[in-house]
Amino acid sequence: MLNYLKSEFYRTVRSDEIHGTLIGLLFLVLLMNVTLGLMKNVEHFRYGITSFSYSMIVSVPMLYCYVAFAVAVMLYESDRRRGTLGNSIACGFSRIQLLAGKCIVCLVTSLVLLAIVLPVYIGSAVLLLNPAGPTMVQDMLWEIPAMSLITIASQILAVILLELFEKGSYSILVWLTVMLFLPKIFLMAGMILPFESGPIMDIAMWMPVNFLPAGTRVTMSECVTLWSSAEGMTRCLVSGAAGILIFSGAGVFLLRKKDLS
Amino acid sequence: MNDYAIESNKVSKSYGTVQALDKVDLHVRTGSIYGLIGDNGAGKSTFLKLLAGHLFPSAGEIRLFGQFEEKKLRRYRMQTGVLIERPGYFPNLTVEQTLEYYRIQKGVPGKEKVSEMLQLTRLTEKRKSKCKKLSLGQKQRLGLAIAMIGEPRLLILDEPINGLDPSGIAEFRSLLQDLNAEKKITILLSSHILPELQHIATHFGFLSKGRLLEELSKESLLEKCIDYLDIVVSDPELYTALLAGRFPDEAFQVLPDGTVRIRRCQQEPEVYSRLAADNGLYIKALERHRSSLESYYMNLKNGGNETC
Repeated sequence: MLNYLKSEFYRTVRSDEIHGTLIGLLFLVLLMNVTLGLMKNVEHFRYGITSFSYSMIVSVPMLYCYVAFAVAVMLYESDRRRGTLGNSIACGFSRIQLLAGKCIVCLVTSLVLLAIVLPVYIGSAVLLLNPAGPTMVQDMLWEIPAMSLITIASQILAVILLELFEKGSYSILVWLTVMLFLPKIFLMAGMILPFESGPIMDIAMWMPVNFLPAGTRVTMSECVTLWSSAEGMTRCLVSGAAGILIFSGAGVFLLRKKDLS
Repeated sequence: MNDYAIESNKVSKSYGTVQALDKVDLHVRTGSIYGLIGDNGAGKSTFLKLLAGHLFPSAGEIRLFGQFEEKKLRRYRMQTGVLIERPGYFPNLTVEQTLEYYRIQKGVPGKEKVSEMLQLTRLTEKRKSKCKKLSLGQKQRLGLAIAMIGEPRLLILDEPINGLDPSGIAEFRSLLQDLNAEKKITILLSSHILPELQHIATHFGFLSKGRLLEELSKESLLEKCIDYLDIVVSDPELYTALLAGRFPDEAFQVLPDGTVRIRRCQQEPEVYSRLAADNGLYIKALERHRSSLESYYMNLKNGGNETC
């Protein structure tokens, strides 16, 4: 599997899509902070502060999952169609080795993107904006470990779905369903069902897209994050770990003997 | 050394209710060039995909170099080069980068292997071109380079000459023959272009509707194909009388235009020619016909099993 990882890193470093994503993310970050910086001295403009810039990330923790998903799609969406997956299988790698290899490559690629974009984000905010407001850089930095396992779980799911379905659009749709729509359905069912729906509500509240907004309030006047409390951080980590176990197990079960038609 | 590079033992594969392969027993001798022949939908690609590990058999067993356990099969697949349906490449990588990618993946030491493959497949000039810019023929050659870069003992090629121009086909043929002769690589290939397979293959397997109809060597094929001789002679009646007297076991007939056709001729053409000359007859024309692989296959498919 080491050879597979080495070859995939060789490719990823030369991938136009990953270069494009990096440039796109840096452009967006700089565009936002430069725009806020240019307008900070405009009268009645309250948003030229570091807090507002940081809150863009802190208030939407699921953003990590979306970026991780995008990385997986860019790297592996066409793997079946262009025949590269077939070649790797013909090289003697098992389905499980390939699944694990892809997850590792996606994770490392995402971490590298984060390691480049985050300093630019924080650096440009510190340099260009007024240091004021309730959201601090620590809130953003603690968000990373809190979201780490949830992000890994969502990326594992993405890799599995991309390998399971021939069409990338199906994979995207199923990923959105599992990560966003299904948890919302559980939540609504827990709230509106007339019979004893406590367990459904409990399950729904272990799903990130439900419990993250419930425990996080980020405005111009306050910043309450779920991960600032031990209980909240634990919920994030336990939910992520459970996701990793469930999705990995499902992936092994579904892909172990999956035909590549 | 194992006698067979590939063996399949009653291998079946079904997709839902569709039976793509039905108890196929196929044998590819180590060192041979095996031509797998069949119509579209006969199951050729399915069989090759089973060998490559793309598919799992519904029943039966596949052996590569005598091994059949999944783990060992995977180990032997590392020594196998595969080109099935389309060459797997990354559109935005260059030809050189694509080969380097597969060199790393297959664990082949030494970067010079990439240059060697580029030379072998005449892609050196295109090494800096992005794969998406290659022509169909160049993509096929890239596919062969990818299959070859792991220094395989076995090559599995599905319709490898698709998209190649006539000179490309001739070069491809000689390349495969060289690889087989010099590097002792066993080659299993399928093709619709049967005359091409007839040129190159040393063994043949005929698939139809998921069943293996027959396997035979080139020698057996030549023996099985009816060899007949058409002779236009000055006096056909006298000549047939002479033939009947001299070679009573020969089967012959006089065609409406007076041509004498000798089926399954057991003598060399000059023997028949001498018979005419020794009896004062002269030969106006003499032509030897051998049935093609194509007609043999058509005959086999339509239920014949002896001759063309």
